Amino acid sequence: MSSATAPVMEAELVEGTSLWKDAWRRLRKNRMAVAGGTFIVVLVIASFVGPLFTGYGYEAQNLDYGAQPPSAAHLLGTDYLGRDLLTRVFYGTQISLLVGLLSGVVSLVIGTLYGAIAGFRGGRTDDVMMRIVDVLYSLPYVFLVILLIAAFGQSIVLLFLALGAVQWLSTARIVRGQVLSLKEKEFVQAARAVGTRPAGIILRHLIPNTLGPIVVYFSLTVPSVILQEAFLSYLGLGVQAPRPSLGALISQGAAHMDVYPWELVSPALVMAALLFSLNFLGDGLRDALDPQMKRG
Amino acid sequence: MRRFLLRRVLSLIPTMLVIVTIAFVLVRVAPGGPFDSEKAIPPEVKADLEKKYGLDQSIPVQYLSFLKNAIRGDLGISMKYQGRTVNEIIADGFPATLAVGSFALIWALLIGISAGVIGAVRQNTAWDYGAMGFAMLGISIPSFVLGPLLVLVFALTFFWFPPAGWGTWRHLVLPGVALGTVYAAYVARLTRGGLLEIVRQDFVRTARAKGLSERIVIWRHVLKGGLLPVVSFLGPMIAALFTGSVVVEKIFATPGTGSYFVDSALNRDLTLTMGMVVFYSAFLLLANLAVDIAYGFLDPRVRHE
Repeated sequence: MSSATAPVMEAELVEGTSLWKDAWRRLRKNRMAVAGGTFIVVLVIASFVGPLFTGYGYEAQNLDYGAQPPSAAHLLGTDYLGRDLLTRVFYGTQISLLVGLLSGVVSLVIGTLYGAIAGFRGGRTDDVMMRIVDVLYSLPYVFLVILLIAAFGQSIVLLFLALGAVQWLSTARIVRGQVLSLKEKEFVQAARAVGTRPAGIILRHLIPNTLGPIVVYFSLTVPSVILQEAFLSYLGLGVQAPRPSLGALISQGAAHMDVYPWELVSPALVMAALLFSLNFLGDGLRDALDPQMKRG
Repeated sequence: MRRFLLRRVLSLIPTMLVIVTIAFVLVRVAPGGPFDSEKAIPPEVKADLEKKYGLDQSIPVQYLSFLKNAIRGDLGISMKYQGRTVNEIIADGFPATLAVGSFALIWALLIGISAGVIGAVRQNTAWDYGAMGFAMLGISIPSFVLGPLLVLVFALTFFWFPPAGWGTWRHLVLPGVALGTVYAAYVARLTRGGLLEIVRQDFVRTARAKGLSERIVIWRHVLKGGLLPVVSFLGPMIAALFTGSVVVEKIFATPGTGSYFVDSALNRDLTLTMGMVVFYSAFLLLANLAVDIAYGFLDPRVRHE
């Protein structure tokens, strides 16, 4: 690894391999993860580019063509108000992906900082901070989100924040555990010795070294947030009509499924395929990044 | 063991207080009151109503009197369903919610553990891939997708089960399966992982070396330790099953408590909302406590921490 001790006679240069390169190599070998990742990329592009080509707006109603089965003009059919279902599924996918990503980031930021500070400070601070996490852990948080949204009205920003704010607990625990063991390492002592301030040590030295588990946990948070949003939309608490999300579309489809089932089938399939791919990608990332799993 | 128990029971009190306080604050800062209906009520009547429910007093006084009554088990009178106490509403609805949740829990454990054991015992065979593929599929199909699909197939096409309603055991099956399948999938993955972890350990090799049959090795030695991850997942799972039943009850028109949760919050039915929060939280915390105690018995290491 270190070039200082490498003898000159070593003719061929051994290319250094980082955790990330290693992980990328392992991830590429996992066929299901690659398939999942590819599907997600295709879905993201399709959901943003697709609406430009369908020729309909997501809220454009045409009551003469209400509840039509799939046809050449409407590839996935129309809903009871005559809105093009394909366009709505594209928009709904966009919203669901955005909610997953943004709430995931919110929970990631809170959890990482909280966990890193608790682990780095240690002692009483750590005790108190982790006790708070324990207490919050046993809250029926879905109810709190419902209360929060019922109290402050349904805005999409609040939705991101509320969902993100209840998902950070596990991230905090994982990061704290990592930081506890990392902070005794020599490179942290060196940083302290040259007078780096605590904030600098946390941001520049500790957090970058916990990125592996953070990425893995992030990949598990995104599908669960998407699911939560759909759950809330199903209850009428998520994204507001006429704007669609996958959950809202499924809810609407389920209400009419005995008469026109295509309204349920297409958003349900997209939702299941999206979660399926995200879960496979998450599993693949875990296997690729988690050194403990290597022996498996 | 006694100290472990005592500490766990005592820790319920601050948790419960935090929940109640957060909920109380959220409910009170929400704009709009329970008596702001479209029909304008004369101000005197409104004032009378507010006095009756103690809304004319200061927030801290309301908070303390709520706590005092809740400790005595009195959750007050609903503000929307006038004349019905919150206790009555919960007592009417909760049996149905409990029945669906319990069915889902048993379904999840039965299917999940079986699939997980098959996957672990026949690791890297078609059986394993099949079981884990199904588990992945199960995780990806949320209850509100599975529910309508089950109705479409088993109620509206084959007529095996009623599509909605309540009354016989047949009404339990579809909601229970819709609710429990996702967790069956999680349990399957946890079981498989837990068993594979234990199978690698020395005491299992010893058990095999002394000539025990594979069946006894699995049943007596591996399962006990291998199911620990499932036991620790029971707490979150019970919480998720009972909160998740809000949606399933809506799909299957189950006369449970689920619908009250959302409706009461949207209606600003302050007493019913608080009552639901207190009741569900207490139920979930006690379920968690039971799981922790069970875990303490199964894994002595926890008790001595």
